[in-house]
Amino acid sequence: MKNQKAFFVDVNRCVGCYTCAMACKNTYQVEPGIAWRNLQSVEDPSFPHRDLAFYSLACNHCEKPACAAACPEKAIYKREKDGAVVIDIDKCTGEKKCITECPYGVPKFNQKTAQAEKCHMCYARQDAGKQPGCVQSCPTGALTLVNLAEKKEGAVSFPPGFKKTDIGPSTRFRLAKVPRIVRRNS
Amino acid sequence: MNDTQELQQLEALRDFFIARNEVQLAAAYAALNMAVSFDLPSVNDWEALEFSFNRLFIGPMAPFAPFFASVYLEPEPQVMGKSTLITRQIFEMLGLQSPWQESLPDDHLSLELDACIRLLTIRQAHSSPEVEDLWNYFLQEHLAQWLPSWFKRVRAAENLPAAILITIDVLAAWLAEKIDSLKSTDRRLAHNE
Amino acid sequence: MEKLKQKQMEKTLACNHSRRRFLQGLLATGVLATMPSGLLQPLLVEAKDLLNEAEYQIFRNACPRNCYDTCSIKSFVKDGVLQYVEGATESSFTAGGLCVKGNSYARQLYSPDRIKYPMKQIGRGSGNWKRISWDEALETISSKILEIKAKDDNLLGLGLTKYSGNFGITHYGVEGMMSSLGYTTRFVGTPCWPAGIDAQNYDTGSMWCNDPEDMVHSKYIIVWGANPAFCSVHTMKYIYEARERGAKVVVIDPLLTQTAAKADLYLQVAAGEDGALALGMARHLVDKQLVDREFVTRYALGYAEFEAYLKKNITVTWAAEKTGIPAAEIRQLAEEFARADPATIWIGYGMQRHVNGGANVRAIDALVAMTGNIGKTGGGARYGHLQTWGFNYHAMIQDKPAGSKGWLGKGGPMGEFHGASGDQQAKYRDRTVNINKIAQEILDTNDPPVRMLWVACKNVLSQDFDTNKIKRAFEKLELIVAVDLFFNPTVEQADIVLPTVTPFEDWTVNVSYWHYWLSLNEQAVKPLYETKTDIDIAAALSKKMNAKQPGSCTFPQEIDSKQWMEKEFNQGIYDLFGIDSWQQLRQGPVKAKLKSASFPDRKFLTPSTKYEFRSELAAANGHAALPEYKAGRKAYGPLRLLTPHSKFSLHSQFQNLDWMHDFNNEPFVYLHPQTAKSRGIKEGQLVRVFNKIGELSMKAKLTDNVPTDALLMYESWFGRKNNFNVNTLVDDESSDMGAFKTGAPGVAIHDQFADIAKA
Repeated sequence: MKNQKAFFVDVNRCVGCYTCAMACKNTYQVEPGIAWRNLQSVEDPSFPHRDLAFYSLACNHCEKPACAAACPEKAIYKREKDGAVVIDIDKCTGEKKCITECPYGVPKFNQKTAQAEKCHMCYARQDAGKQPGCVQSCPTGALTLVNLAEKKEGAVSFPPGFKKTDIGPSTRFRLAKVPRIVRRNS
Repeated sequence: MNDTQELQQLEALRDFFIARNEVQLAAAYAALNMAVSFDLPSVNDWEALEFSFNRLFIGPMAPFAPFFASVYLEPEPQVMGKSTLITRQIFEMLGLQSPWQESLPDDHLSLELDACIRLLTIRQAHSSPEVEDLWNYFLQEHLAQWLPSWFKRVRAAENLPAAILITIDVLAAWLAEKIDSLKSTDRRLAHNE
Repeated sequence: MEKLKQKQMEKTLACNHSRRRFLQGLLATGVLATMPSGLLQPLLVEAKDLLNEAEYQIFRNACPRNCYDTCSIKSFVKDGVLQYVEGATESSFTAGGLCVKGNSYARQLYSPDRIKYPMKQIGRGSGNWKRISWDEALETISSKILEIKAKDDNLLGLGLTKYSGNFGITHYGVEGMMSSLGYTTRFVGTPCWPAGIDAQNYDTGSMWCNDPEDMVHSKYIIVWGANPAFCSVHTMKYIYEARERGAKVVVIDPLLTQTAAKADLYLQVAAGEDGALALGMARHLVDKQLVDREFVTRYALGYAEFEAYLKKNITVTWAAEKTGIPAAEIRQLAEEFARADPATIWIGYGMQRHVNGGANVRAIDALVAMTGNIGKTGGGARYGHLQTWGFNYHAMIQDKPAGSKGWLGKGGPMGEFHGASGDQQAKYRDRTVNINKIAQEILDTNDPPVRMLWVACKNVLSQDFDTNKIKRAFEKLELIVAVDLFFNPTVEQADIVLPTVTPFEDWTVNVSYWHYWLSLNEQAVKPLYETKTDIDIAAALSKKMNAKQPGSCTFPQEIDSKQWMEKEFNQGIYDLFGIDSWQQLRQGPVKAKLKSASFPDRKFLTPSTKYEFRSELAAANGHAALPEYKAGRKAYGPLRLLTPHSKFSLHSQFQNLDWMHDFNNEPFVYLHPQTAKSRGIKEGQLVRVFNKIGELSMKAKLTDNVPTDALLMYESWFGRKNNFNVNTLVDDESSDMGAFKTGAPGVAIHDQFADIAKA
């Protein structure tokens, strides 16, 4: 895809403050129990300290979205303009195929609407010239929206703990550095 | 149940759920007793009933079963949701508005019951297909969408006083009857076509 | 209903024109004229026009919580309903984004859990509540006040405890309400930062930090006992920017915090030994001749004595023993800090919550001063400031009723944000007691005792210390009135609860004690239910008091909260912020026209106008004149208990919201795997944490972020079936300083000890 926008998650800047996750709920008044964006703690020898490094994750707006391929109603489409993967709520009949097929567990089932829902990259906000709610609210500049074609220094596609697939998730990451740690002599 | 009885019942229920204290609760309950065809369970301790009523619906603790439609209709339990606005628009179509606009969500149960009373009065006096459509919509797409969830929540309360349970039952029976009669109307219409 | 008909009806409902056409049809039939009356009222003509499909109305708000960041908010309102909030883009500090708490505001406003009506409890703690009218609530309250006055011949039996639940300037109307009734008992001081305030006042005659935005110019940043990654997320971007420009970032903290994880170097200091570390570094600078001689001779007082103290009493080896940090690290840190220009230290509030907290802050101030980093852009001993708080405090300053009698002793109410008291010359005073020892003060105060307690902007039973003792003390009170938004543990124990508003239903103005911005807070939606603002409550009480006993309360009886917000402004504020009127704030927040460095001309507000290494004021107040080492509290249990701030709440605020529970739904105790192993505790296991004043149970999480000799727990919870509260285990031991500027010493929150065992 020529025009693919992507979330760039700078794990080295991220302080795990959950602002992005709550900003998403604020923007769409997302139901309790459902989060379109959430944080995953990095549990890996690359950062061996508990709950101090995070991946901020929402939909990866894949090159070949498994959700779209699985949907029997063809309710999920990928926008030409920016590559955002969007559920057409008028078409979704709540068959949950997208939910079972997405390797990243992105679409969530809303019991009240009996439909699937997920991050749509705030395409309407973007069309209106605004940043996605999560990106605008990130206080440290750790979460940005970039053109995938643009090369970011140190960017990786599959950091430790993020599932490797061949469907082309667009999210890119920069890994966290561990400080030099001087512990007390005890 | 005749039309007058029906209106009396709804008025009593309306007043019960907007009561501010035990005196008003008792008065509304007495009115309800007059409007139903059986004896309601008697209440010995109205103060205790008021405490329970407040725990269930008012506060100051997070109420167990708030009686605002949007708490049940919105994708998430909140007040002042989209459904609150729809209720306000229905009131507006009837030339009405809540005296507590903005300070009390329009979809408070008692305000909605009040709107039902007005709509039923209009239907009795001078119905039209437009009025019927509005009534059907309010009943089926609004009241019937949230009240059953609220009934369920109330019935799940621990130590639910019999007097509160019976008011819920009366309201539930009324709703069921209305839905039934609409369905039979729909069936008749379908048959005629 | 048929799908098609339903859609049609939804279209009709959504369209003004269609709704009106329907109504016109009804009017034509005449049926409306015969409708019975009920709750709903005839629609006003203007109201019909209010409902349109216009775009959002945008309002200006500010987050008034006790937080460094005090964010400027833009609120998006449609049909009279707040739809969502955003950070204001006009403030370079807020920069368009809020935090996890700020983004939950729509949820707080419209939570079905809010307190909606005035209510009274029949039997404290019974859960048996009656809804009452405002009139009845005020009748009960005013009768009690008059009864106290009649019984005691004064109003000292009426106590106020209020702190930082809402820092909007008009909320000082609560203090004003008390003053307007007479001389009362005030719980004064602050649990937050008083030891450090005093320390900085001894050293510099003020507390005045550089603009945090100038940290981008720093070449060396030490974040000492602060955790901005949790508590000031908007400052992190300046630290990052400084690093990108070549600065080194060092975090000194007993815990490997989220901020430490972002540093170049983390030093795990022994809790409470920060002073030893600073003095060890200072001694090394003397030895290495890395002292800024110009600063210490021209702009400072008593440096020679301080140097003599260091040479006589302090060595790097001693500091290494005290702090646990190897001597070589201390030497390297000192040298790097002294050689960087400019270099800065951010002194956190956590590191002064110790019995030696004030002394520790003075030692760190000295380190910054002797390296010549005070008065420099990108430098400074950053703690906080009150430079932008010069409002009129119109709501606060009220006259006493004629003939009021009060306290004849020393003192008078103080607070960190204002020096105004209104009646300095009066014979009588308010009786002041220590806010941080609320339980002990209630138990000990007699003649007359505190009979009635007014609680505003505060959740005593979550936030104050020694929860079990507070419950015992409350039994002595005859009437407890709590003003709040949610049913927290204090409301649970109140006799009367008065429902109050969120920032979105109120008019006020907000500034920060950290950054230099000023924000307007507009009323974006009308107060919900029967809620009232703090000043509306004061006006209503005054009306009631005067009806019962004319002249018994001087507070104006009719107020307009917008006008009262306007009355807080003065020319000084306008000049400082470069605006002509407050209306300009509707275009967005503005920043003070101050130099980025505090004390830019190196003139200090001390008696000597110099930086005072030797402070006679400190000596006169019973402290060492020099920034000397002061030992910490003796351990009263095997493990140190650290209870810092969480990122998900501001104390007990926000934590109760269901949205927050999506990300944080259970409190834990965090401990080192070794400590756990020695007690047979495994990850996720239910444990008990206990000490001499209380006990708590929760699940354990094992992590080397915590030292082996400590336990870590966060804050207090309420609602959603969880009344976890760390203050059950935190006693009310005072810190060394705080009484000088805030009226009472602080609390040694981090000098607490406990043990842990499997449940």
